[in-house]
Amino acid sequence: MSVPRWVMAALALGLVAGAFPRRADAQTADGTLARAVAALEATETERGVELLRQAIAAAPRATSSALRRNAEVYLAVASWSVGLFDSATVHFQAAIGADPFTTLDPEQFNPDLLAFFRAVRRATLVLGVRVPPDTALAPRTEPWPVSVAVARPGQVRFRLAGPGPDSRDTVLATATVDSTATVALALPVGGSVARAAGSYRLAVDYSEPRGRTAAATISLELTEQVADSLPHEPPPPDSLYRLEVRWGAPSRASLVRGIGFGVGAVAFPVLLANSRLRRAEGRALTVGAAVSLAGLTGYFLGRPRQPLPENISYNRALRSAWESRNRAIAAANERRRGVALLRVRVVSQP
Amino acid sequence: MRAAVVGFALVGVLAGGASGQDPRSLLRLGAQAYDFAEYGAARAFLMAGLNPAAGPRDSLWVASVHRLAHILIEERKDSVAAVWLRWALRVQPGLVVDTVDFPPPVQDAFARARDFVADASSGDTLTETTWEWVRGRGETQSGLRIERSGVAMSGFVEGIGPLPAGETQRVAAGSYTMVVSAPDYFFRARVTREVLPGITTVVRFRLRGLSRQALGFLYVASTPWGSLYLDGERTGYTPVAARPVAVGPHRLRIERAGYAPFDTIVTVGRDQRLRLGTIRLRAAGSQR
Repeated sequence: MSVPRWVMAALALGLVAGAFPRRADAQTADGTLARAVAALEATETERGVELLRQAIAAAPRATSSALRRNAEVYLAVASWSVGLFDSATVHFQAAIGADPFTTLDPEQFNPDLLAFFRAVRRATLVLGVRVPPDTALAPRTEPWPVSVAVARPGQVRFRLAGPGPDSRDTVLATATVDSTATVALALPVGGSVARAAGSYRLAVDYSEPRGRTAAATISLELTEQVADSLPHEPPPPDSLYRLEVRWGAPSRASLVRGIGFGVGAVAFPVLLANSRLRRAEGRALTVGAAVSLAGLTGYFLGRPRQPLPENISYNRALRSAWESRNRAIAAANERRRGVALLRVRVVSQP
Repeated sequence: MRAAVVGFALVGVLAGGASGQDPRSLLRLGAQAYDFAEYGAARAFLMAGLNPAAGPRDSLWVASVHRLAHILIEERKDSVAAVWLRWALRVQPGLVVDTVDFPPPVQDAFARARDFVADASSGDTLTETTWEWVRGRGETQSGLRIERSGVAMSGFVEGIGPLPAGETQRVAAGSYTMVVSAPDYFFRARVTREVLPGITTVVRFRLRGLSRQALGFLYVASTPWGSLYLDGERTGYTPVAARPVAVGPHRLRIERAGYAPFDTIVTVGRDQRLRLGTIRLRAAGSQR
């Protein structure tokens, strides 16, 4: 049974229309947030608070954690400035929930607000995990960096499970974290990168001394990555080379020799030749003039070439440097081809 | 003979627990122990007996404050002595310092404490403070609490964080400045109170009888943030919004280290919301 074309078109339109509102919402939320900040700067606090609430309502929850965080921080500051300290606490908690890595700049926020924020953060159970979304590394020599943020000092444990849903956990690392830290995890690939490829889950468990715990799970896709080779460098352009010879000044000796031969060519037949041949003076003059002309031409065109040793050695160095760089690139490519790379791609994260 | 009597008394009291005794007796025992340079015991008796709710603040009480301050200074606990003296001067503002029986360091500590306490704020007149002296043995934590009064109220302690009404915030002994706000009553106050070692300070705000004088509302922000003074009294940091102020002219100043202070006079009308916008502070030494 074939689906009519108009049904397919309607479905496609529906999909496109479904995708656009989310983007439009995000743009609306961004614009509303900007207007809210402008209102707060103009000390139109009540209007700013109203706009901030609208921005949070318009922001798609899945895609706008930074926007939500910023809006909640501004709301907390506005509530604090009005004297609604309980509301400020709630909004700071929401900002920390939207982004556990939230910090306040001491230049931008006054000491009371900073202390207030720190106290709220200490009282909030929070665990934030950040990993590079898509990276390639040599697993035997390069660790995989994972950043964590916690509210109170505690133990953070990293467990990796996979490939496949039923595989056992491997504890990669355990660290004591005060606030934020980046932990370098060595990914266990065993004997072969190709064999380690598959779907994994990274579980991050946090426990604080008072016994409260939090956990986050990140789904990963590990694949073998062919190493990129570096392209060879093109030769240096001609403009970089210097002239290796110089034309010398014209030689007067050659001029004198040319004219001398010309005069000789005329004088010999005229003075020494048989009298019967003297009627050929015209020809002798022609030959003499031609020889003199050849001398003159030699004078003007026959300039000697002088080699320039400095330029020659400079050009030689330029060529050998290029050749040596290309040899290094070839060696690096050879090494790269020998290293097995692992591509780590995050499929989903909290 | 007298030493033996005091010794027996100390043993008996310590065995029974100092907190179980009459505070007046504790102060007397503290005086005796102080006279015999038994500073450790004297300190414990005096701290337990100085509860102002347990008896008159008479010459014995005043002398006990002196003795406790002297002991703490001798023990190089000047900061703890300062907290007790500030507290005593708030409880008994007219306290006369004994310059005959106590050495100059005690007198100096009193003078510093009096200077500190002298900066009273407008919120002090609406504030009632009590202290919860803990009965029973063992070390207890110091604390600070805003008493619930049936009015929606929230507060924070400068440098510490939020202090919701009714919740005790555990803090180290010291002087703390609280900012308390009850928007329904157009009330915002900033008061400084002492937290004594092992004792919870309880602050109540009397808002129900608050006079409904004509008010306007001030909005001010600055970049960078700065300390805000209204009519010479520090009211906190910028930004401030909907801050209730009496109708009429007010001197406003914003200060920040490294920046030229901003001074202006504003006149607030009845129910007016006066919005000054964000004031940009000029770096000190920069051209106008």
